[in-house]
Amino acid sequence: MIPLVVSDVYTMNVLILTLMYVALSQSWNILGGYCGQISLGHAVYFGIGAYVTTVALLVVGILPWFGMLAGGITAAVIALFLGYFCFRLGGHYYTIATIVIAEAALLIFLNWDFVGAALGLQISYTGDSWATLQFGQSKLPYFYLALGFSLITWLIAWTIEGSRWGYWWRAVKDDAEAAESLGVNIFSSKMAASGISAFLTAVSGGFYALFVSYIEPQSVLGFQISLLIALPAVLGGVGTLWGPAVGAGILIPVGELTRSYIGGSGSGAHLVIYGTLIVIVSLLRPEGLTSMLSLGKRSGGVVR
Amino acid sequence: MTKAALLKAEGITKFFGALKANNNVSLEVQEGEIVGLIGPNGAGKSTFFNIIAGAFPPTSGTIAFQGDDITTLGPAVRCARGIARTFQVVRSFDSMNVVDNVIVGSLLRTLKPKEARRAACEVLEFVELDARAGTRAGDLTSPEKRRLELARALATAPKLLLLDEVMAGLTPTEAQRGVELIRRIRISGVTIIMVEHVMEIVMPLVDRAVVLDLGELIAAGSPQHVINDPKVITAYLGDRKHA
Repeated sequence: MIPLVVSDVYTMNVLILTLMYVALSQSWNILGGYCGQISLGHAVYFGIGAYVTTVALLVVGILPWFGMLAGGITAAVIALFLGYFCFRLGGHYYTIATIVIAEAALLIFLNWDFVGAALGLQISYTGDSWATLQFGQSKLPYFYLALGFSLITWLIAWTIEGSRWGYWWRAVKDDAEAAESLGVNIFSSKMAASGISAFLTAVSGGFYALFVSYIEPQSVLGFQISLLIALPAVLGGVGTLWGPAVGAGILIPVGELTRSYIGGSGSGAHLVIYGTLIVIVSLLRPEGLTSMLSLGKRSGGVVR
Repeated sequence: MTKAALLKAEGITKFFGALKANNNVSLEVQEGEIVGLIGPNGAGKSTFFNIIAGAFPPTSGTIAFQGDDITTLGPAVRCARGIARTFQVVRSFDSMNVVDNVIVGSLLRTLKPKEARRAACEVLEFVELDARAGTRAGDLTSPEKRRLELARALATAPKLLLLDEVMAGLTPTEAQRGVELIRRIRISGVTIIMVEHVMEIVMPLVDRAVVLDLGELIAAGSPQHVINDPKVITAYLGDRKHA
């Protein structure tokens, strides 16, 4: 197993973040990849998950396990509320709306004193525990948590892909009007995909808050989070089961490495590399890297 | 006729801005019929067709299906009730393969993917597209795409099938295969309303033809009766006095 041979903290951190983005990008893929609703504002759900988990722990004393669940539910409810208005918008207008909403959320949290405004919230260390999900000695438990959760999101996507929802959502993505003529309710398809996607994204947000034990608006609600959630799926293959994992497995380590070796403070070398990768892939492999490995599609054989 | 009509459209009027696309059109379709909706370009056939399919509501008038008023229902609900359609410009789910396209339709009647796949395969055999089941829909030829669209609509197990110029762009041989297919669909117990441009195709196929011109219903009846109707001849060929 990898964690047994990885001893240094830095590599461990990169591994954990990579797995977290595997889960995040898969969550995004459920809405963006299968249902075709491209969100560039998923930081909202990530941030809500992080803040709800943290506030629940600090203010009310609710264990993070339940805090993450509460964060997920809160995010799902908000996603449904936003979807109610935004899913009437077609195509790019939906994407633009998600960006605007995420920016608005960032501004609200930057000025909201109850959640620490721009200073953010600190979770103080109270000793290693699986109840509070705090691990100061070794990061290994976080590795297993991130691994487990990325597996769960994969399984959820896999289940959806083979179900009525999966077929109907892909139909909505390819041609909404034709889907509707076959009995597919476009609006509720988008709502369901959005709710599930937001829930899973927020759970990862809660995990992130515990993992770094300090959150502030920029680090959990900033636009770069929305990008980092969407890009792995785009790189690996939108609407494929393995796309998010392949994409995150490349993008996140590359980003972290360039950040620490090339980029000084505040420089955007890693963003240049992301951009270059995305441009290359969209030119050469518009369907994503997995289309080269034929991991992308479940075999659609004919049952006899 | 003693039996209640399967579909009953009454006084359908549709304005697009100031343009009156349909003016007080009424139509009754009995179960098991093939009804042809014909008329020259711009007659309002497609508008009337789309109102039956639920793509948009009429400005005034009502649509009843199996005795229930469905005027305000959207296309998805109408499909669930048993009205399926094809599109004039072919629409396929291009990222999916052929059988998955049809499964989207058959999942309306079952929640079990396996059952849906079996139903989809049966429909593909019926429309003679089973050999292409694993092909990406985007890679089909355009007559094949028409068959796929038909298969998808049939997979929703409709009682009434609306066909919008399914023969458009087909060679005479392909069109002949299409005619036979439509006959087989009717034999399987599906009522059909078809919009068609080419008279030679519609007339031998339909039980009844309904002619629209400038948004109004000008003639209805057996194909023989309709093609000899002076109003229909005028609509298609123009009025000799004013020519």
